[in-house]
Amino acid sequence: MDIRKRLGQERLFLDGAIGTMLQKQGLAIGEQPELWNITHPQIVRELHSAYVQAGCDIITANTFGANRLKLKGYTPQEIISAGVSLARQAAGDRAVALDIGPTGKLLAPFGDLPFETAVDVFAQMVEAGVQAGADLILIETMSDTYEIKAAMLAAKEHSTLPVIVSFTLDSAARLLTGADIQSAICLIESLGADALGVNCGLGPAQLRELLPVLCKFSSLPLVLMPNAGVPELRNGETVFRVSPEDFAQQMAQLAGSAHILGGCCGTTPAHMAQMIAACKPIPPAPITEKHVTAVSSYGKTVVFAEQTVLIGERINPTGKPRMKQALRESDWDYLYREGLAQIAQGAQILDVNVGIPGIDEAAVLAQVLCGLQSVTDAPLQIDTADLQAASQALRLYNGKPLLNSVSGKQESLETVLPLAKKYGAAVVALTLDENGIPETAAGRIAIARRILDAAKHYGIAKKDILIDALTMTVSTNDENARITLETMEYCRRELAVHTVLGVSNISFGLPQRELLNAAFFSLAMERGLSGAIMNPMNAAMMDAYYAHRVLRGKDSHCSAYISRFSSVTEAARTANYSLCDAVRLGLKEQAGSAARQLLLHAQPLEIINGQLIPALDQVGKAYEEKRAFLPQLLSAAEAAKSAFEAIKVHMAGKGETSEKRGKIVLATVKGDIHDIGKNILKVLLENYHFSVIDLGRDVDPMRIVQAVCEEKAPLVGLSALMTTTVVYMQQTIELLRKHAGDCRVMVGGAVLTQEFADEMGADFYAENAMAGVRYADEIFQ
Amino acid sequence: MENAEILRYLGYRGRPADAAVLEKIEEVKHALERVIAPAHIAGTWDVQIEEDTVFLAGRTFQSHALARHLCGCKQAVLLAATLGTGADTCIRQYTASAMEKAVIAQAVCAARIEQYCDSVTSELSYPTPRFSPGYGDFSLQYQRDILQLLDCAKRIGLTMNDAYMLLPSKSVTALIGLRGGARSDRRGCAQCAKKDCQYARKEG
Repeated sequence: MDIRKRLGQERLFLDGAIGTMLQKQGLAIGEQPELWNITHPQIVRELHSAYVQAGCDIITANTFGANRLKLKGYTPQEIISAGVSLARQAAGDRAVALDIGPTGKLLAPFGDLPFETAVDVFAQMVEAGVQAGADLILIETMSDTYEIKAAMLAAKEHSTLPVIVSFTLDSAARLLTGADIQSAICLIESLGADALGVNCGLGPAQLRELLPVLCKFSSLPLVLMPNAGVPELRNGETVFRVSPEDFAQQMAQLAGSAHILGGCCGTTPAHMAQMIAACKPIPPAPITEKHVTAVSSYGKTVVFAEQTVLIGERINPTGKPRMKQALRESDWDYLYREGLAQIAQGAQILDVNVGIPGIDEAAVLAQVLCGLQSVTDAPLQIDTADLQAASQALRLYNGKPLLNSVSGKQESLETVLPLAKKYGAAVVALTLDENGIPETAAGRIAIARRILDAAKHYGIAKKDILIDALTMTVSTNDENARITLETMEYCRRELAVHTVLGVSNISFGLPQRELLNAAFFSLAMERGLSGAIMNPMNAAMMDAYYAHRVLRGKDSHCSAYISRFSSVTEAARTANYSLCDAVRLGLKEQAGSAARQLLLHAQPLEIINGQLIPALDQVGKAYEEKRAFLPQLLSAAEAAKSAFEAIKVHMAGKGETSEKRGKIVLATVKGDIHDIGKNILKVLLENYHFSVIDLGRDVDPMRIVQAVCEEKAPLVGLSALMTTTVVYMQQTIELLRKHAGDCRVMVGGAVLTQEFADEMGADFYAENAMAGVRYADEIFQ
Repeated sequence: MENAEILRYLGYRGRPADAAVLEKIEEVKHALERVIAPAHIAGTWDVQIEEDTVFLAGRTFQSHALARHLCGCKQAVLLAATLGTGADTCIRQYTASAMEKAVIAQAVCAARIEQYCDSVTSELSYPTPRFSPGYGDFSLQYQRDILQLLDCAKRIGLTMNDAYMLLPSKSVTALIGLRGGARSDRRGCAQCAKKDCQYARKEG
């Protein structure tokens, strides 16, 4: 019978360890077990046979690490073809699983492996496995949600085989890159696994404590493959201490909750035989569908339930000249700061919309999305009308995404829903169609129903649709608030689907907008709004939110409400400082408000040259004379930055931009991931009004050359921390000399000295960041 | 974790920090403690030393400095430790929003991983100080051997890039010799060959 049909229908047994078994036969520690498919086929086949004899239903081929990043001397095709065939010889008509383990590399942004490379590495394995005749794919020992996504996409795009996904938890019940159990399950289910579970890391006894959590969140058949206890390293040997008897007895206690049982490191055919004898009589409990509407990131899940979820709307250029400017200038940090600020105010999800005319929206959206995910674990809402941008963003997003949006238009349904299905997204559904926005609740509800039907047709469950009843301003129709709220409430109560609203549209064209916004927000929350797309930086909106929680009995002892209004820094915030003092003392908020005060009667250039630069110079001098230290220098720089920000907002509002002093390209060289020195220099150079093109870290020499040539930058700054990466610094300088002859090069980094810099042919050695600033001053004099 | 260590990494060289900086250090410590997930693996192997070569677990480590460091030891502990990806995320977050906190976080992490390594090796009897790839002539390339022998990627999520840099970045790999009796009188910075280091601890 087809193995897919058996998953979740009957008790199934996977096999036990391969690697630790082969080590007993002489495989050296650190040597790749998969190579034995070629060098010791007899031993591998016998091991498979021993598991068949023990009674295992699914035999795992010895292909765990058979990826091109790990293999030396053989191709994945060779190893996998041999591996699957050995398993098949032993398994007969039992199922053979293509085993896929992690790449052994850490994916960006945590590490240096690009997501698409990971997908490709796994795709190669999947294709080889399919060709060799595997019956299913077992993705296991995964400790990073992003790598799970890469492997699952590869499995889905290159095969039609059933997929089991199993992850590894540490003793704090988290994946190594920070995901909790719920987030891992949310992602795995969204991408269409056939079963999911946990292996390696822990023994059956530790797993027992986590089982209730797994059962609480999973709607799929569970797989449990623990180690024979927690590994201990003794005199160079990894020891697992749980005996076959104990393993069997402990597994029997878990068996009622899981359909598929097996073993990982340290388990043997004896462990499996005893486990099978003990567990076979225990029927697994039937699987229950959880019907939870949730989205996730790599570390966090947000569930739409009783409490209204706050979706921050600030990352959107509509009506925001400063945001448009940041997008045009690739000033990504500005967008990240907008995101972080909203989270600090209580946003649980961030809407991300980067659509302005004249930019490559797909590229920019991917950049911003990945950048945001490198600084926050808040789930993101992908907000774009550009299909290609949506498709790429959904693919690259680490987690289960929320897509904004689909509508009732036929074309939208036909293009957006298949994308959402493929990438497991939840979707915001706008109640409008070819005929526009209906002026009655009944009309909008009809569209909502149509969207739900279409979603069902594409295999998207109701729980993954969030209906947007569309907020229209009350300035054009007295009934608008009523129509929206009625539609929203009906969808929630009668159609049992979750809802969202863009709240602040309600007051468009009216005075004192925040009064109406807050009142409407309270009404919507009271009538069951699941998610509000709103501005968490707006105090009135947040006040309404906290007040509603109190009145609804959701804020125990009113504690969140009280703590919101017991701000201790109020006095400090209102104290008056001159701009110069605020910068010198490193007071961010005061510097910003002092600048805004000055802008009422002074010109931006006067403020910059008369106050900001002198203050920065003072602190810089104190730092150079060792009277001030790095944290103080940077506090001043950050304070100055918030003053510059005020100036930029002021100018962007008038359609002006300030003239920069000159372009400087900065990069941390290839191989090097320690970029703090480069980042410090960047902040300081920007303060001194240079235009900095930051290429980031681990940058290929040729890319630096390209950027210097394209931007016609007269100066480039390179940083390297280690002796192993200084080599690339030298390479970069040589290439720059060849292709960008008149560009000056300054270098810095822990292992560098003046002598070293001279040897490499650098123009300047920056002993510290201030020295770099002084040199730039000189060059652009 | 002592502030003195953190300030040393920040370049204070024994000078006092002002209240504003101390307050930020506390804030960053608190934030980091919530997101880091310290993990380690350690294993003990027999070692043999012949001139500038150290033999361990069937592998050879060519290094005069390492051979000298392990001189007289019959066994050595391989240690790999990491604060996890949370530390890197936290530093990136501060880099986008408040650079002074990014450098403070950098220093706090440096002190924290050292403290963690100390705590997980405190039970060893008569250990030498830790000796890591990159010290003296002990090439960074041996990072690969240590990561493989301890199965670090799978066990604690510790990997490296092509330039032998550890990822997550707030991580340590090291060898610790076991002397089986004789205690060394030189510890920490005192045992290092680099005498002009700006981060060196003050002696005494």
